[in-house]
Amino acid sequence: MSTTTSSPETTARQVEARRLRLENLLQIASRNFDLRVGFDRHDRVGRGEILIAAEPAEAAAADYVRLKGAALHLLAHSMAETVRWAHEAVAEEEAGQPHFLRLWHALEDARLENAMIRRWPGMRRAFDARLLPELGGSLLRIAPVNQQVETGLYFLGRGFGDGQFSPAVGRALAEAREAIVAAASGETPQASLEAMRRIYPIVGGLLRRAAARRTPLPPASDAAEAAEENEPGRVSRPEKREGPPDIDMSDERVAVGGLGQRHELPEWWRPGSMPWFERGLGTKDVHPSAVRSDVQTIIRPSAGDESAYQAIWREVRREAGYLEMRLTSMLREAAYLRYGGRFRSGKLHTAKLWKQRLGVYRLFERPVDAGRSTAFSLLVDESASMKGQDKYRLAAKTAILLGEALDRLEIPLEIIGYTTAEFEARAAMRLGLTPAHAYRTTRCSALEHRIYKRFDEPFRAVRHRLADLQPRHNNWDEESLLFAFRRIQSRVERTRVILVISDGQPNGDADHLIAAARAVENLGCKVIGVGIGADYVRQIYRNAIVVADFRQMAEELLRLLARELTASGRGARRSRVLLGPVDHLPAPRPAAG
Amino acid sequence: MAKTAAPESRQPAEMRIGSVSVPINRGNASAFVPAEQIYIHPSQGYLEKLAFAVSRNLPALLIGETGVGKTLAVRYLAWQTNNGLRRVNLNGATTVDEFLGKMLINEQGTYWVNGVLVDAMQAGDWILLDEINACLPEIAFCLHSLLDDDRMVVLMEYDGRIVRPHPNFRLFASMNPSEEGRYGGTKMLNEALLDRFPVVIRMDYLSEDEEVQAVMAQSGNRDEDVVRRMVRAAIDVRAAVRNEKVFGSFSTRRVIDWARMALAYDVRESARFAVLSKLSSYDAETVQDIVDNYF
Repeated sequence: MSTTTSSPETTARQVEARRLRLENLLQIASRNFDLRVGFDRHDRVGRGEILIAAEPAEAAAADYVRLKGAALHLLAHSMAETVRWAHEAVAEEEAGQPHFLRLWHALEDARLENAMIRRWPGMRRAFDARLLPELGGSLLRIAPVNQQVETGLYFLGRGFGDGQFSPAVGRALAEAREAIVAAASGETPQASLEAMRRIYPIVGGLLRRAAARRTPLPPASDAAEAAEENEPGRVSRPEKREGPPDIDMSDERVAVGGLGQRHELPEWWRPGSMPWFERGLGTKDVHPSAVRSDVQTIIRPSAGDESAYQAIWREVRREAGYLEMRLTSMLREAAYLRYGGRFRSGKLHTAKLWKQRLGVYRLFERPVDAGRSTAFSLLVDESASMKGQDKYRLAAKTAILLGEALDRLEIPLEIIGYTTAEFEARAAMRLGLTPAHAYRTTRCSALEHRIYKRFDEPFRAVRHRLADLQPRHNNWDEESLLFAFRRIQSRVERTRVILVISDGQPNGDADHLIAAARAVENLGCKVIGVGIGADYVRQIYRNAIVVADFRQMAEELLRLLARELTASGRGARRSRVLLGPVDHLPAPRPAAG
Repeated sequence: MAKTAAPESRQPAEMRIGSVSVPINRGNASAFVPAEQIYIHPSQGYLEKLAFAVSRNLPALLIGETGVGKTLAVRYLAWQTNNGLRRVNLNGATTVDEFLGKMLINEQGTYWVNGVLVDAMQAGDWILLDEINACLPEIAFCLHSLLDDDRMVVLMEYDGRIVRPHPNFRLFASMNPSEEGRYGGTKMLNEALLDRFPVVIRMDYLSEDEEVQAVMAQSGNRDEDVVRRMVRAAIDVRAAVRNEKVFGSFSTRRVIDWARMALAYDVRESARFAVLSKLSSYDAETVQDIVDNYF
């Protein structure tokens, strides 16, 4: 699998990397791990969201410390909920105190940054980096009075000393210095608001005189209308941003999931009617907005519903019991600790003691691997194509069957459902990559991995989650296979097996999946494809089984598990799981255009 | 010059931790008695519960993240009560032979060599089984009879003899939590084995003040302001770990390493070598930002 990049994509990737880093930082500092951070045209602090003013190129190239300063500054506002007090400042302004809101904001900026620095002394560097390029030096003295006062409040509040203000502003600020310093070390926005009410009379005279010297400006909207009256057509109105076209979600496209949820399918999806399996498409791209680390792709599955689980369990109970019984009897013999070999220390083999008389001292045995050391990872395709012929339900049954059987035998198992965050075609349109089919080797949507059962979770504690296994969006099997591989790699078990349950219709070029499967196998992890209803998996995985119904699945699983669990470490690693012919499967369809 | 021992009558016969008294093993000449230990008593009362287990001769299991002071608590108590302490690091390859004992052979014939558990049981030393959730099931099962009321092990490989522990023998086990799957090689502890530990202590990190004191005492770095900032950075990282923002850990041990290095180098430079270099590049960026918040 290769990923090509162009310059704008490199920029976008850098922006995304910085966004994630800042998001981590702000979440950790605020202990709010649901906080989202992004870049936008203007700074904005919303409920659970912080947007930093930066264009993409700027966000990618800006000094990181400066960017961090801006982000932390907004975080300070978010944590203090400054906006809750802003209406009081607005009221003061409307009561005839011009610029009250901005002046209070400047004082509040200083107070918040001081508070942050008291808690995190290292943040001073970030705040200063944000500020210093904007100071303006001696140009301050020719700035409008309100801007000078605003800057002065911030300067004194932060303890920067005197700036080069005009004499009148300098005198007013000197008079208010004590109050400003006290306000900037306060604890709440309310305290700084109160302080501003005391400070305002000192600087208010200056502001009113300055305001009186200028012609009052009409409000912005009035000005725009006036300008249009004078020069029709010259006013630049904000353009309506082009979004993804509306997509008709008719009732015909609504399906019901495993838990009875209504699941909307877009119009480009025709359930069960359009399988695709394409090879030789070439290089794969990943859109920068869809790049995530492994951890970020993990979605917490819902707790699941007992009744939904029981409904599925009733259908698999008989097979599960049979599977467990057969496996138990097969494993019982292998479950004992065996000894073997001829060593000079270890467990004495008393039957060989007579050899000591002959001067042979290699009379000891040591534990030998009984072949129990196997870990399984079950990767279940949750793409929308699994909806056809209820393939997802068969996958859920298989997961439950495997989970129940392996849990009782204490064999480590992880169950992962994989899909994307949204439909690829929709994501491509949203990103302006149209026509979407021309970008079918570009992953535009983030991956999602629902870990229904981790290796260290008892199956019984999490089995209800499997009731939520259902078709969702698309699937990029190669990346999810590598995700599962990276997780199973950390296991101590000597043999690792990844079972991929899929209908064999990966997005993009199937050659990438074939290459990924080979790479994983070459790294010592066995990959077995379990195809439901279509035998594309045979073209992908060296080891593959194809099933059409649950009974066949149970039989194949028993053969597969018996082979893996009893023969692991005994030369069976590269064995091929043999299959009988499956005549009633549909023939492969040509690749979708 | 030989150090003159205080008259025995002047030495206290027991040490008191909270409401628990633990007898001091005066005159114990075991070579396994730990050297002097520095230990900050956590406010959660872990040490008192551990002392309770010792005073009642109950096996105790300590569960906690790496570096929270599980081993140190046992070692400190052993030092204070003058008991020998043997520490066994269990791993997936530790066999019953190494644990209980094994037959060896020479020209004269076969002979038995005690394993570390039997040796400690007979000598009356304490034994700490580190990482008990990484051991083979065979070892776990041979512990069952020792942890039961029977308090014995049977040497089936030898002559079937029964070994009962010395009255001073105590058994402790420790493990990292296996629930989150962050510690490779560990697994869920068998319920039957878990059930046989009458005292199970889940240890958390020390409180901020306690950790500051512990780091200052163990690193020799007396700059409380700097150490406190280091501890706060560690607390932030731990919160990030709990929320899967960072993978890895930031143990008290790691803070001590950092504080010790900061005696010779700049704090941020020390962080690079004592903290950040132990992390993946992705995690290191996040932790670097946290460290930068404080220094």
